[in-house]
Amino acid sequence: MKNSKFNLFHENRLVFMAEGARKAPEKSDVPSVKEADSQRDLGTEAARTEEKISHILKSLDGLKKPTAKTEKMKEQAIKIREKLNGLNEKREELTLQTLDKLNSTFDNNIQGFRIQVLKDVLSSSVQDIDRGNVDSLITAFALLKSDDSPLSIPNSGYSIQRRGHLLVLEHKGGWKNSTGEKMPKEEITFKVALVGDKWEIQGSEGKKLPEKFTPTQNPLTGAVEQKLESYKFYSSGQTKLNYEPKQKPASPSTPEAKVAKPKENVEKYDAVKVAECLKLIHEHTGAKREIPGELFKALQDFIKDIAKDSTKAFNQGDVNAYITRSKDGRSYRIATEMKGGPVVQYLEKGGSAIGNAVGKKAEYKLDPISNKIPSEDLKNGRISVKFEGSQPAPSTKPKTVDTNEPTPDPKLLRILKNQEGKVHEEARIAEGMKEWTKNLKKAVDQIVKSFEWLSKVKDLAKEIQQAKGCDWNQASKDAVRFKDWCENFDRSINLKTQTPQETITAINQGLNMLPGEVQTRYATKFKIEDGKSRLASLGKEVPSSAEVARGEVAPKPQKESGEVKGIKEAYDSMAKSFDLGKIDISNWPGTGKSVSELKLVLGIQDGNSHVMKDGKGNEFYFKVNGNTMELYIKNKGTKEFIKYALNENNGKRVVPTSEVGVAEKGGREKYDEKMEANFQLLLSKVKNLKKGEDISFKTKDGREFFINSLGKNRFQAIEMDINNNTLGEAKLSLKELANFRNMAQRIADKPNFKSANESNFAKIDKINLLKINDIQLMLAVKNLREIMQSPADKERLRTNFQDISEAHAEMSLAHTYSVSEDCSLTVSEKGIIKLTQKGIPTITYTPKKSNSAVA
Amino acid sequence: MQLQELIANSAALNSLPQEARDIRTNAMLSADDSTMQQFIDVLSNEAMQLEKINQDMASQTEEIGVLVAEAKQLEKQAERAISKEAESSERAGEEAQADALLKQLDEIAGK
Repeated sequence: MKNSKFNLFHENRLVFMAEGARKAPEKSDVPSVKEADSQRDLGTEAARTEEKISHILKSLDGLKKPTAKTEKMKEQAIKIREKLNGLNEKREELTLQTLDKLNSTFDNNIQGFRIQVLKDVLSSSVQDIDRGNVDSLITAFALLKSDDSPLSIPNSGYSIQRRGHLLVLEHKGGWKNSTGEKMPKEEITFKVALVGDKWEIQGSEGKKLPEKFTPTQNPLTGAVEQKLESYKFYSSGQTKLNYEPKQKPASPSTPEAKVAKPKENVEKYDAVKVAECLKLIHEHTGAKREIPGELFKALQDFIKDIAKDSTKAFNQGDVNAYITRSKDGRSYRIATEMKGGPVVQYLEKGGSAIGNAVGKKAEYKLDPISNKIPSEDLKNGRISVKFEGSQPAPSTKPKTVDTNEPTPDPKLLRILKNQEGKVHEEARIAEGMKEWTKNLKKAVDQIVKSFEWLSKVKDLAKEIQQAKGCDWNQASKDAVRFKDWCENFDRSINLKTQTPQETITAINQGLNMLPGEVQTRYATKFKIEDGKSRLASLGKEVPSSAEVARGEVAPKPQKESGEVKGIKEAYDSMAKSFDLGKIDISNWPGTGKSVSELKLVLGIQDGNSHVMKDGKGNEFYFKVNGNTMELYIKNKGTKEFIKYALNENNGKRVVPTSEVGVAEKGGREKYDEKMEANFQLLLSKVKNLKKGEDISFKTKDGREFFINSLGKNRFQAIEMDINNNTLGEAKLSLKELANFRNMAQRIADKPNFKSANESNFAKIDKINLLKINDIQLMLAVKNLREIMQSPADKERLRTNFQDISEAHAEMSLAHTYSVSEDCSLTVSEKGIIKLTQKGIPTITYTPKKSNSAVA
Repeated sequence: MQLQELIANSAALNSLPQEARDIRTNAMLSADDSTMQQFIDVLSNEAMQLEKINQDMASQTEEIGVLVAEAKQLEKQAERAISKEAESSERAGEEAQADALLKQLDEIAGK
């Protein structure tokens, strides 16, 4: 009969223990540390050994007659037990040490570790989204330190950042949402929130990621699709383990913002107002709303001390926000959160807030110069916030800026179009100047491009050799010199310091390197001369700053300048052919050339030519408007220019211009004795007009009048604007023409009269001048067919059309503009534009509210 | 691959709960080369020390074996002794019982 207690010494169990001590335990058989304590009670390897030895000792102790042998055995068992205990302790210690070392390794390499983990997360996420990906993403989140700079994943296009409990994923190529629409921003933001006892990653609206976010192109795999949806994870007690990363997701109820609030700023801003402002920003839903200026100012006070490329947290009441200043310091990005509410919106460039998922944009009207709220808005206590539709994300890349000339700010004009709805004329002209110089620069660039043919220096040298009759070496040198000049041409342009005329001079200096014959031929061939002449024309149409300052906006004949050699040569050539004393108007100007040919030779489009002298000292210049050309001649010894109106088919002499006005500043409506004296002098000539003859004159402040004899002492008096468009007219007797004031008043009293300032056409013309000029510039270097083949040019044309069209449609005014000698632009009252050029099908532009197209 | 083997054989990592162990395993295998090498160093060191401990334990095996053999012998001796004792006790009991019965018989017969 066996006693069961002796079964403990079964041989198999002892053997197992010995083998277990020799090799590492099998994974599945090895209990964890946590399990060890409980398993020890049941008999782990060590415990079993200990138990066995205890039993041996007990057995030995139980012997009634201990012998020396049993005593020795007992002693031996005790030693073994101690030794095994020591080894087990060592083993446990080794486990803890190993975990500590792994933690240290982890901590010491956290950055690389993060990158690898995140890379893995993002890489695996694009393959397939499953629970593992979600957990990885959460792990990644836990690895990130709050408010660190975005962590870039090398060669991936991704970066990831943690802002408090927000997780921001950025993909250089942008994202598409579940409906395939491109996201307005390059980044998507998740919120990590503790829901019950579970951690969740939610969408930026605080919902459980209903969206599917897809990077437009995945650089890691080349795959297009990426799904990031329904993230969840569980705390599961693992945070208690040694190996848990130190950073834990912040609870929404205890944002790290509280800790991060910089103490030194406490007195520099009004936290309550900042919170109110952020609330308003946060709560916008697409509807128009207003933010009080004082609140916005408080926000500005708060953000102004943020260093470049850093983030400042804000917490007040239930408002949490993280405000990041860009690397260049020019813009701010605000992420806001209300307790229990949605999370993110953005404020950029201190002026516009861009919503999150819905892509709304809120524009805060700021002074474009100071980038502050306009004082009147502050004074009134409110600023307007206008919300617009979806906007493309502003590029983070630095823009190429022409440092010579600041980009005209369209807001400037809008702001100056202030309370009374009046357009600030000076600002408009100033803006026009900026716009013009910008266009000029573009035109110059295009002209420079047209010089590319000059790489064929050899051909050019041949031309020069033939024209000059010089040797080949000299011709080559000239050709190379000219080519060098062309290549460096843009360096000679400095719009900031040069007047338009100086710029044109710079162009001429280059052209003058060529012999006249070559210059003319090449200029014509490559439209250099054409472009140059348009520039010259523009230079006259747009007043100089000094003229603007003086209020003189009317073009004046340009004085001859020694610098303008290129054009001067042409003029000299023309002047020599003139005998002003024998001009046959019907076959003017005696050269056999048509007006258009003369315009080309003279380098004139619309505007005035330079003043020239013929061989006898008589001075003359041309004024061109479309196909109409006027010749002004001042005979030697006289003071006045005589005007000749000329066109392709007819030319008639006009009574010499009399300047009857006074040049007093702002004296447009002023009237004085001197003016009247001049007017009376003029009337003496009017009396002698035969039926059908006319006389014109203008005042020194730019008003122009035209008196036409109707016969029988009846006259038609017409006032014209600077573009010779009728402002008003009146039929008057000679008696009614008694004095200038009376005449002007009679014209002005007519119901249809429009003052020069109020002239629809004058307004439209000012608006459209730049646009027409821009089209002229385009045509200076390309013909219409070429323009229509270039998407960029076509878009530029469309933009110009849109503005012109709107201006005309607004005022229900039709007009035909002469764009170039073979191109005209007709605008209907409804703003329909027809652009015609010889040999090219007519281009029709029909304005639409949006998505207009040139057809 | 080396790290994977070390992780699989690591007593420290195997002491963790399954879920935690899997997270760490994935994380370590996702580390950059330099960090991964450091993980390898740590786990290699652990394996080396563990091997040493195991060798120490193995060295006790012989002693334990001898002790167990002797214990088994003692166990048998004890079994035999106990068995003999029990037999003798049983025999003694039977003899005593028989004596008691004989005594009763003698008393009955003597009456």
